[in-house]
Amino acid sequence: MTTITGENITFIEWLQDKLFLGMSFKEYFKKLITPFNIIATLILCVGIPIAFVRFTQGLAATTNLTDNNPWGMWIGVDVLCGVALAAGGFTLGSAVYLFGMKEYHPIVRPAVLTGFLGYFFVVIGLCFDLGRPWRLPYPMFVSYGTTSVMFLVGWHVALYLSCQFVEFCPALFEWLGWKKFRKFVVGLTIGATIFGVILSTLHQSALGGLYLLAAKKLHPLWYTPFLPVFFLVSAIIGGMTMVIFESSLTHRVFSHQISLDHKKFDKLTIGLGKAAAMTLMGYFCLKVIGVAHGDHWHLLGTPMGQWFLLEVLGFVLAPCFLLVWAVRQERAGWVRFAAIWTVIGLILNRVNVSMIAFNWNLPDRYVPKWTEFAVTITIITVGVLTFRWIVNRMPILWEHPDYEPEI
Amino acid sequence: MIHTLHDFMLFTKGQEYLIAVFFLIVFVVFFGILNKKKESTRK
Repeated sequence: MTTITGENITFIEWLQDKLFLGMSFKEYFKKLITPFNIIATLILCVGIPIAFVRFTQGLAATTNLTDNNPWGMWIGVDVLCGVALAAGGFTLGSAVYLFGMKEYHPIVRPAVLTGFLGYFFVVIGLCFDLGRPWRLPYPMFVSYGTTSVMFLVGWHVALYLSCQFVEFCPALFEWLGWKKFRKFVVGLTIGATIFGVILSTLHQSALGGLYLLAAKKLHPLWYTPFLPVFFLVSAIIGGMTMVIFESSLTHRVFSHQISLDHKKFDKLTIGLGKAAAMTLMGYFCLKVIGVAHGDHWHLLGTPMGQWFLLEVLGFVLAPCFLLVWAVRQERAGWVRFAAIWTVIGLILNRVNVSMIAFNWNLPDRYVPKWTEFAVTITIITVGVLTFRWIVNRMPILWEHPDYEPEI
Repeated sequence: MIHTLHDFMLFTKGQEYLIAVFFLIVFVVFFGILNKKKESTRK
């Protein structure tokens, strides 16, 4: 076995090099004691016992879900927001691998990794809601439900997760030094990206399509036959803004790994901001047409209508204008701020559709239990820790010197 | 039955078409503003 510098080493040394970053276990353990890791450990100490209770005692012990409100925070936040915010992988993957925007190549790997981990943890979040995780393969191989939107979503998420894994594999194989496997998966990248775009288009919109079944339950301002289109377009926005947010965070935290200079990085951020601004404007137009289609103008004066206006004007149109100003003034910092604002807006939209505007007229309103928050925070924490573990080891933010770039 | 302009607009989806055309114009203007190059401050 060899290191990155080509030295011959034993298996133990190889493990030490790969897993403990070349340090002894003691040194590595000492380096792990940081404020962030201590907070993460505390979160896990609360979240893991709750997860145990959920899988042994059921939903009633850990959630406020009822027959009227069978879908709560784990679907509304973990699944709907998770899938939308993980769309950066397919958005940037198609920009770089299909449309030839090679200048974005330095940020495509972190975007693909975010997408892959995002979907992976969506499945984990879904398992919390569904229970009995060993039955996950049932819709694939045992009991087909071809008339259900959930059948489509289940299959698509499974297939898309595989596509994202293929797109992530070059970095994994470069880290392991498996040159032949790396060459093979690089050949699959374009195919996987095309397949991924098809799958994403369908399942992002299908998640909105799920709520078409709940015409009487969803508030008329949020319910529209255009829901699948809204979900798809907003997911594209979420993907782009999440890439801006995630890349600015990684550039701060892992600055020692990055070869891209700040000017070039700011230019990429502004380019993404421009694309996000255009898509936000398109999304705003569609939202207005959605209200016109149902002729629900009179509902805008009601309390729910004002909440709708806050979502559309405050978290779609306002960040859109800020992005336009920041792009024109070439202020990358403001683009990042507007991106975070947009991400919050997207989360608000999914929470509105799945919880606040759902069963809005029932006296029995759903409010998540603290344990539901704890599980969601635990899943996000594990996701962040996994992202950091991979970025610290694999060539995600830097080019491996032994390999040619994929494009 | 179509009694008012509002009924007519609903029946023909005219409201949506008008809004769509309006936003088409807005979007073109928006695109122009977004892509307008920043004026150089150097003299």
